Amino acid sequence: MAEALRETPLTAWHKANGARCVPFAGFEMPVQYADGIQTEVKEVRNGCGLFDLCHMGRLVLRGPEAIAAADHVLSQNVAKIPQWAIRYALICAEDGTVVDDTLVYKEDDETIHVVINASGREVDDAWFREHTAEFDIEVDNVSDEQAMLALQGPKSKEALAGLVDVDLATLKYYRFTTGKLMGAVSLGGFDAYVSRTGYTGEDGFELFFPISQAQRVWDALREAGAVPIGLGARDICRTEAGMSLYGHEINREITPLEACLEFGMDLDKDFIGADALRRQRDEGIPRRLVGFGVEGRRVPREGCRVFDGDKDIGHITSGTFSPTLDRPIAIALVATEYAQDGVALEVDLRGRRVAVVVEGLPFYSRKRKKKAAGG
Amino acid sequence: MARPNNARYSASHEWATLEDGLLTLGITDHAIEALGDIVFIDLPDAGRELERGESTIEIESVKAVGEVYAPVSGTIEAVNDGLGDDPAPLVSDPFGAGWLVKIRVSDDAGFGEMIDLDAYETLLTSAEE
Repeated sequence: MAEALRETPLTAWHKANGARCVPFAGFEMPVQYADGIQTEVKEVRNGCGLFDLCHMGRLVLRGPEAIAAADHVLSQNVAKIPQWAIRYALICAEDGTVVDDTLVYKEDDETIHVVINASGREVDDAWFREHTAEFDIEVDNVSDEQAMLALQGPKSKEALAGLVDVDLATLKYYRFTTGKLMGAVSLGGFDAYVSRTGYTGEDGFELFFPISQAQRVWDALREAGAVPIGLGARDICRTEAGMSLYGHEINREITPLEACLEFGMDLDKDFIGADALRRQRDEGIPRRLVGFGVEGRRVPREGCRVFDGDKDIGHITSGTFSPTLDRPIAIALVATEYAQDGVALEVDLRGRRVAVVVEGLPFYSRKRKKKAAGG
Repeated sequence: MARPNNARYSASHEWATLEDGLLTLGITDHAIEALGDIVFIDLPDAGRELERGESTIEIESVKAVGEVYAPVSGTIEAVNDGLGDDPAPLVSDPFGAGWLVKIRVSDDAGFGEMIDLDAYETLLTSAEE
């Protein structure tokens, strides 16, 4: 029998407000609200989208050896991360494949926050406990006591500014800080972490605070102009921005070198999986992740095979119609010899071939958009 | 949205009417709702011969693709080509201006096995429970 789906503190609100909910990593989550996915993508690109991310996992490594423990498990060089800075990092297995991808928040040398995928809540928790047993730290799983919301889009700063006593203009990309959310404590405010991060390719913020306050903050952000966005639009935004999603671009059969995630690794240090990854780097990376421009309007979907003539050379990891670019886009894992811009290939779509051309990721970048607009 | 009483329906959310050996095929408002934002309809060419159960039309939405199956064997006689450029009529009027293809039927057994409106709506209700 299927296990009952878990809810976030906002699931009831989603359902009462026109969301279509689906099971996602054991949670019942909104895939879209009433206005539809395309409208939601446009809101993120032009306004301010609001995301319920309470399903995601949050671990805190606390103790004198927090950095050493984090550096043993995570691919990024945690010792080198500045205080109050954030880096993308992978949890790898001994064979170099990916257990999960994370954002690492260094509060101080004895407090490292690790934001993980919903699907990693139990797996990563167990992984950290098993592989850091010999370090003097405590693994604190705060997933059920801490709410996580994201604001994404060019108007995010406006929506958040009145609710938090943080100078958002000086909070740089991939930095975080603490502040009081919803006013001073005497007025019912409380401590929150605020980070300038996100998963859409837009400017924005992520908020972490006591879970009992989730509905209050959600309502206040909506009143400030933020528009609820479901997982459907979130997935499209991250695909347009060329960002990997665990279970698709990366998993226990794909290495971060194949997924072009070098920026999230320091192969000059030791961590679980580093030996296998150095070996793969030196011997040759067999496959690489690429973007595909698609001829026509049919959309290559995850799992479709990629061909050079009769030769099967890879598969689609994510594919969608891009409302921002008004054309189909896809990400694929292909044999390395084909991973060059301009290479023409074909995708088998339910028995019929569609022509595609390798193009560089990301498909969409807000900086490029600004330049194009003369800004 | 009022679903026509004179059409027959399938569990895969096609509707069809049959008149003088010509079957008009479409998809229901429920299918459209489930697909979400429709961005492209890949229509077949007139003259194509179909086997009953064959995938005939693909409907691409932002997040998924829906396949429309031929309920009967026959030959495609007319295609609602305008939908290939603009899927809006399918969404606004799925049982009228949003028809997909007309099939000259060579064997209508499949049509007889489609269900009537009451049975279709019962099926939708039970799927929701």
